[in-house]
Amino acid sequence: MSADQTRYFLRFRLYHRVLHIMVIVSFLGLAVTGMSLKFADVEWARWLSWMLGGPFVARALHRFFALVTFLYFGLHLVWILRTMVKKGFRKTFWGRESMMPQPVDVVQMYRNVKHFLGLGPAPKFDRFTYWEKFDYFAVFWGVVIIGSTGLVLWFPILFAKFLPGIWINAAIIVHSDEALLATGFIFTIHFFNTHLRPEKFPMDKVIFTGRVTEEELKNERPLEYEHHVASGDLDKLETAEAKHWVYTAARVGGFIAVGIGIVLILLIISSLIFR
Amino acid sequence: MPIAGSRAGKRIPYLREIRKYLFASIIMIAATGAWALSGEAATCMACHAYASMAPVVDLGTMDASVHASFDCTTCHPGASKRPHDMSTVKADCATCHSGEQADYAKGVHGQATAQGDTQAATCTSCHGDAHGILPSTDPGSTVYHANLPRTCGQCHSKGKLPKSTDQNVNNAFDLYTDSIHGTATMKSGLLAAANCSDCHGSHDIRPKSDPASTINRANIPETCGKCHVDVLRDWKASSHAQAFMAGNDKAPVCTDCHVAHTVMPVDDPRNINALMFACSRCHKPEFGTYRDTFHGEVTEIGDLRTATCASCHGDHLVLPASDPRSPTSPQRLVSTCQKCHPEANVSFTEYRPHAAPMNGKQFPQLHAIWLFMTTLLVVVFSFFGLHTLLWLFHSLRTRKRAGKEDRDVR
Repeated sequence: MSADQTRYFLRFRLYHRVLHIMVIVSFLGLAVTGMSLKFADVEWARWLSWMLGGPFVARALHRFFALVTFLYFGLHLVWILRTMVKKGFRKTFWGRESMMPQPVDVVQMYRNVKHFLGLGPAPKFDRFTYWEKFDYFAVFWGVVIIGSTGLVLWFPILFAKFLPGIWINAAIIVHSDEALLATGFIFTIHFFNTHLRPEKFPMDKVIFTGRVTEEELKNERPLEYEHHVASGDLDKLETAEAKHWVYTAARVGGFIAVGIGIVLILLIISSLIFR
Repeated sequence: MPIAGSRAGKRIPYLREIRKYLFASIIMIAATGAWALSGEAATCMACHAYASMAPVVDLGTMDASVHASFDCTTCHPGASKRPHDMSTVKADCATCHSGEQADYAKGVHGQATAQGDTQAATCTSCHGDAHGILPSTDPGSTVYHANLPRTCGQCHSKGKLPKSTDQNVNNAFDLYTDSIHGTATMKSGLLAAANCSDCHGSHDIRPKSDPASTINRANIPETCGKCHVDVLRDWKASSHAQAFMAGNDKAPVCTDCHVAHTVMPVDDPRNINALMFACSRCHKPEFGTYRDTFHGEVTEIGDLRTATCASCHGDHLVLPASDPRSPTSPQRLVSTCQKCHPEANVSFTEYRPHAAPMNGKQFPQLHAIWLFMTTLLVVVFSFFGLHTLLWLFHSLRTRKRAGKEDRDVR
């Protein structure tokens, strides 16, 4: 395809792209430092811990990445607030542009599974698919749950001032298991759904470039495309192709991130099976 | 001289003996006169100063020795008859040292000698050249406190004893050298630090299987307690000692936690690890739950700057939490945690450092949380795992079909 014929539309603003890079960096940082402690009974984790400078350095790094997490979470809440002010409460938490799971998502999931089984046509997706919404809430609630329990473990004496000590034990279980859920989910399900499935392999760079081609928009999110055509604001979304260096950076950064994730999840799975 | 003599001996068989006796007779006649003037030693030295009249005695060493004031015939009564009968001239230390001889006869070395083992240590193996024996308080003595390990090490170090022997016996010197006792004794010259005989005795060294041995399990606490008086006092008050006195074979004595020859300083990382593993031999489930905590994971990684067993439970005076003297008792727990967490309060101490969330009977609340989390993980991964697999197969099938159509068109 030649560049002058292809039309590009904006899918993710710079704000969201930057936030997702913060998510990638902090999530990988937390996963690597956290797992080096959680799997202390396995050789690779001990090696990893000393590569990071020992368990106490790993702890300091873990807390640094936790701060990055709290920062992007705060920035995201600011964005929700901005959306509420600009579009109103209803449009923020319901409708085709909202991340909120809605009845249509259940219907689409049912139809999509039927489609996988060859029992029907593919459902027509809108701006956000049901699995993208699940990814989003996995991270949203993940941050709330892992973040809050993490703070208990970071400041146990402070929390013990108003919580019984057994809550520290509870925080350890929840923090650790939720972390296993988060890393397991992101490094397998999310990686497959967005990057590794045959249609997207080896990776979908949209989260870094922010742009999709007209063809992609039409095929993957027909409802969104039709909505913009009908309302006549498709042109407003049109944008120039991303710069060459952005593609290069996306490819390099994306491969590194996906690579780290896959190596880590393989180590985790093998340790869970063989230890 | 001996070389020339032996060559001469080949040609004229009796030349050596003839020369020897001629020479000896002249000397003896002269010496008999000299004896009246300058004492018995001079008489003996008339012969025993020369290599041809072995054994050669160096009067210099003899004069510096603990036996300097004795006449030769005190130890060699058979030597007053000349020429000597070799079977009667041999010195017998037991003439004076009958107590030591009796002890020696009871010990491993004496037993081996009695059974005909010519390699087993005798008096001179440890005390050195018979004529130069120094008092054990003399820094030059082979049995001086700081020298004894090297003396025992002549046999008890790598490759010296038959391979079948216990490595702890075989390599005792090598193991001891780097221990806290070994470095203190041999490098720093600390006379208070234990050397071989402080633990094993000297003449009456018995195998640890012998109930009368100083290193028999039953006697270990008292043996170590000779120096470690306060440790012995604490241990005797501990639940370990109570179980031990009640006849529980599994109750630990000193050497169950501290490895005898390689005993290390308390703050040596190898020692901290070794002590944890020592506790874990009996307290396995507790060690397992400890390893699940932050403290346990950090020490497992190999950084020992965090709490281990003894940090909370104390060391020698180990007591159950129900005993108010125990550092883990409700009365003392806050101050125990405060050793590292200065602001710890009562609620903080309700944290369970040995929690087992999988044990529903003991930890019902934690078990419920664990069960919920595990269910959540299983449900999410099963659902999306299946979803992903269906998607993968569908995509592969679709692409295969599309590829086939492409080829058909072409």
